[in-house]
Amino acid sequence: MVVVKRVSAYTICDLLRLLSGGKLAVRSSRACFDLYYVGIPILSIGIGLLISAIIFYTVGVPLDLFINEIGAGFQSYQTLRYSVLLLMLSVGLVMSFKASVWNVGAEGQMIWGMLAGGFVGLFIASCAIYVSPSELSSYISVPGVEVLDASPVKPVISVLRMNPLLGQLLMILAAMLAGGLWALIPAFLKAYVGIDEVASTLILNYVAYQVYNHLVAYVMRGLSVQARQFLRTDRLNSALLFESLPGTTVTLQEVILSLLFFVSMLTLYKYTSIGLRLRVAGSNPQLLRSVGIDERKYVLMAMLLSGMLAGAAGVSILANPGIGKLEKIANVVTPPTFNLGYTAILVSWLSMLDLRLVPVYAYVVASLFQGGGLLQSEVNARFPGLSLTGAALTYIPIGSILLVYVVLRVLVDYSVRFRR
Amino acid sequence: MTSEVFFPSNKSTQAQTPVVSVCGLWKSFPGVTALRDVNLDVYAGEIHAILGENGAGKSTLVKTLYGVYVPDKGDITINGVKAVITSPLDAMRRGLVLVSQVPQLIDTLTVAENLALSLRQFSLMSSVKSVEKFLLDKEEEYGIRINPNTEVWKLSYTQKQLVEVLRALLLNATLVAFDEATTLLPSSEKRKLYDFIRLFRLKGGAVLLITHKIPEAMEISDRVTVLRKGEVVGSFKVGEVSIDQIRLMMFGERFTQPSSTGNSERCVEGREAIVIKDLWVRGDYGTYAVKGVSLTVHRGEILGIAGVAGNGQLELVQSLAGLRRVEKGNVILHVKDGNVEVTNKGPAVIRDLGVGYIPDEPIKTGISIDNTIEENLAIHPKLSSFLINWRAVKDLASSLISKYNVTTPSTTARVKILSGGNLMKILIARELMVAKNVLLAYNPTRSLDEVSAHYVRRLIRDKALNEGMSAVVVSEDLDEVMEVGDKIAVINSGRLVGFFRRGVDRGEIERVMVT
Amino acid sequence: MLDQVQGFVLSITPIFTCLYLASLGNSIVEKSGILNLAIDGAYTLGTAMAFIAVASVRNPTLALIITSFLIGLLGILIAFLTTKLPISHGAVGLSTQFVGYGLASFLAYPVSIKVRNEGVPLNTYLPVTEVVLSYLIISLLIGVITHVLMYRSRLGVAIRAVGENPAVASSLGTNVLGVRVIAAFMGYILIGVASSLYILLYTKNWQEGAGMGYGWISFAISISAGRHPLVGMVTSLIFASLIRYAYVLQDILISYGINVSNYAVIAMPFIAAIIIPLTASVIPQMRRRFTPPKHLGKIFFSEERSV
Repeated sequence: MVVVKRVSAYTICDLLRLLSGGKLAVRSSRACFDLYYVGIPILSIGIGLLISAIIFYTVGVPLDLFINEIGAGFQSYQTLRYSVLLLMLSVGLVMSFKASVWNVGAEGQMIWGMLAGGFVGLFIASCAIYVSPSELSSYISVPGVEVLDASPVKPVISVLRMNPLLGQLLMILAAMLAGGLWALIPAFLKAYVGIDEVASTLILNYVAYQVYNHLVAYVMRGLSVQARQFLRTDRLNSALLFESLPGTTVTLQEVILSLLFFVSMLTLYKYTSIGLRLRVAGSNPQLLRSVGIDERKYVLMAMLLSGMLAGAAGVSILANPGIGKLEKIANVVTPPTFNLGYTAILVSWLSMLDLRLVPVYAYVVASLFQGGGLLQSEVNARFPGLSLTGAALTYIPIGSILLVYVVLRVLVDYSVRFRR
Repeated sequence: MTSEVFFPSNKSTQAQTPVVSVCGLWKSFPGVTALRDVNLDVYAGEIHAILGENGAGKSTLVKTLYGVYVPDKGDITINGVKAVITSPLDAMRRGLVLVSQVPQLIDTLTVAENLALSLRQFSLMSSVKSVEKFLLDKEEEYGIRINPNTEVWKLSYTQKQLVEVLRALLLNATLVAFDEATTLLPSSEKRKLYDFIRLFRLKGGAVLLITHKIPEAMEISDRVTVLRKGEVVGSFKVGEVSIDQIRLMMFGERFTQPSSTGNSERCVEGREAIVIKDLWVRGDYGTYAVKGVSLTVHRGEILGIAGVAGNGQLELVQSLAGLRRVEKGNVILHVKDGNVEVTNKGPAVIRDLGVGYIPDEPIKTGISIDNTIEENLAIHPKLSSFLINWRAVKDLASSLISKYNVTTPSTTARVKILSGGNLMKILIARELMVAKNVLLAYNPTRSLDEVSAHYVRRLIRDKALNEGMSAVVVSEDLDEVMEVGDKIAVINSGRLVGFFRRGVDRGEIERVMVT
Repeated sequence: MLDQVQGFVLSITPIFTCLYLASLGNSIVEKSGILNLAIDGAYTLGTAMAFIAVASVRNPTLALIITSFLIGLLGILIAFLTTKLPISHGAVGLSTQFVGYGLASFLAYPVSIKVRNEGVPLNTYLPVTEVVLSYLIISLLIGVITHVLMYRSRLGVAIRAVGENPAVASSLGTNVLGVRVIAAFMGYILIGVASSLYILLYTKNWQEGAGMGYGWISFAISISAGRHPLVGMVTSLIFASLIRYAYVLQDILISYGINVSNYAVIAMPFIAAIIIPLTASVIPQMRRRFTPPKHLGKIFFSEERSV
């Protein structure tokens, strides 16, 4: 097999010959727009899902169940929430990937967003206090006060300490700051020490999970009985929770945030020198250096932007009325981020690192993600003997779609030709 | 094959079957067709020169033969048998060896380790020590003295080329291709290499000599084939055609006498613009590459620096551009507002003073081929602000494209689809525009055709004359240095060894370049 | 005194071998120029496979051989993709990591339920002195052999050459794909051995997420040692002690009134995985000696243009 470079298009016949063991030649070219931006992602999703379906089929998950549940994901009302979170995460990641800074630490940055947002929400914008059982009834009617634990021995109430809008804003800002700062650690290591950011961001995810556990178990642990029992924080004061849109699980605040981020990143990318420099930092950092721009600053910039957005996504998960509290991570394969930080990598790549396509693929991937969850509960209900775990159901499709995508992109970027 | 076995010394039989025959070869890269229907026959016991200007497709041809590139169309026949050469390894097995202009050796490995990669008689598990012993014996036989236990980066350019030649000899090649391998060698060293080439011919080997220097081709080869824009425009025995006819073949109708540009000495204003005092700079491997260089360039003056590649000129220019640390000494730029000490101040400070820089590896450091022409202009801090006015950038791009006669579909085309020359023009256009006070350039006209190269050199001279720009122009091409420089300095082993005025005799410069 | 040394050796060897061998594997793979970002996926998958294998074949050594061979095949796949196609090493590594995580849960979780419910005996290695010592000696021996192979043999030269500059290595006559496939196969076999020992010698059982992150720790060990087989022994020892004696350290700190939570103990090797390579690369002499292969993680595409 030989690798070469040339211009003509690559055909299905070539692919068949590749599969039958013919000699392969790869050449550089750019296929037409449609095939490039639509064909590859759709084909990767198709083939990747097929591979996953076959893998699951081998242990007895019926194909029609797989297809039905994944299909149901596209119509599920939960999907909208995941789409919004993935949009927020992925526009940040695209900015960093464009600069060839492979931030795989969105998970950890989300965790820090949750911690900082949670800290502001639980201890600054509001606070939880014990009250005597006899006084409990007198507090109930006070605005901004709500009962967290009505136990007859040690009741706990949450007291709002500021305007809830200001409180939410502070929570979001703190989350973005924390996520951004956490992302700056691997950024510094990459820019100034030369340590590969993929490895360091991933390792820091594990550190973040344990920091989270420590803070939740010791520092931020709640006062209420349930909180003490299950190693978790108190619930956020409901005035600080984001507002669900009627009939969905998505909140108004996270929709606004994600749209705001989408538009501002698009503007930053297209019309400012920051965007241009990030782009060039990705394609040729030495050029930046040579024209007198410190390319290392743009590594920091790329990480900072994606970390801040991941932080915001983290606090959006926390402040969702369906969650509202931080619980200890029992197993690192099931973190409170739902692994969305990894899933967002999939969205960014499928979008071919084009910001305009991120909303589309955020929706598509969110549907798959939701479909995977539906599949798991359905399989566990109908085939209890199969013992399929959430990790299997998320990582196998994510991994196989990505792998197919990576290979397909090469086959199109460099059209393939065969020789005897 | 059989005929060679039966009549090993029959010269006429050998002459009838070419060692390598190329038939109807086509090869294209995105944006360029490098080879069009090339036919070539190389016979045993023959030195065959391939002549052509930069970008004519000479290197592509020889790299295709060597299995680096795969042809789009066409056949290669070796000793009368059709061959599909899939890799350099494959080519070596078929008896083809390539010696390149840039030595194809791995710097961090020793000579023995490098050659061990080529020598098939040693198994994967055999020790490096045994290779070293083998090499010592062979070096004795060929009269080459290089310690096989030395790391390649410690060798001089000539020594590296000798290692390459040794490799070709050890591999018992039937055909050796020298891809501009002698171009950068000083004359005396060149003769040494010619001796090896003649020795090789005497043993019945075939030699392909790729060069763009007509005299070199005439001096040693038996046969010459001329390439222009990827096509064979002529093939003849040496002596059949005149040098002028060859020139016409190489350059076509565009051919003009290069000496027509003004040779006159100019009077330069007295003010100093660039002052370098006792500059010491380290190379990539920690040893000093620039050893105490001091020089002064006046306002409106162009200093040309000549030298054999790898003598510290690269490190010198990089340190002036702020891209390499200065260990000792100072660099002072005198710009309109006064004197600025720029030693180790970094590229941002230096570029802000109106310094243009044409680097040694344009694709690596001068231009980003994955970005568009517009983006490659706007990236320069002097050419755009925080909010980018893309319309203004587009106008600028259009005007430069017409000024420099760049062939491109649009201003938003990605630079990678441009040919090497057009890409270089974009870089030169940008850097000349920002070079308000100083221009630093390394091989500024590489991969440009003769006409464009003369145009660019004239632009540099005009800008110096009319706008008072000072320039340091380093070139591995002595003719370029002589054409563009008001003053010529020669660098050898990191030291300036000679200063000349414009119009000096070429031989005098060559002499100090070598010794 | 002798007893103490013996006790230390016995207690540290299991974790030492399953870090050192994986880092050794990583060094070989990366010396050949392949950015080894699939290591954690391979490690996690390896622990799952070793668990399944030992639960079915009931023989730890056989389970170890099967697992290492399969993980070795994974290495061949990665070498093939990253060398034959002009493809991003990061992208291939990361996707493979996710597939590895997923397959590990997918394959081993049902087995773990079965093992628990049906009381299937797990014939892992016994923690007796002979077994533990022999694994220590074997892994140190493998380290020395690897060193000789990498720096004294023609194969080692070829591996380092394709990592430094595959284009030049190729024009010198090296089969870049072949050499990388050999390097990746060897490297991944070692990663397979290490991840098997994680189950068979160290934890002796599997739960979801087992081994996750240990691939990254091995990666960090290899980098801190400048991808050098012998220096790796030292860095592996540091990490192994840190993991093995973290709780002892915790007790000591607590006795001085410094409260360290269990979570900090779990996080400690990961924090070290960031800090130790950092210090290794800040010290100038080490930095120069420990420079990564020039072409590490770069796309090898022989038809790249120069101008």
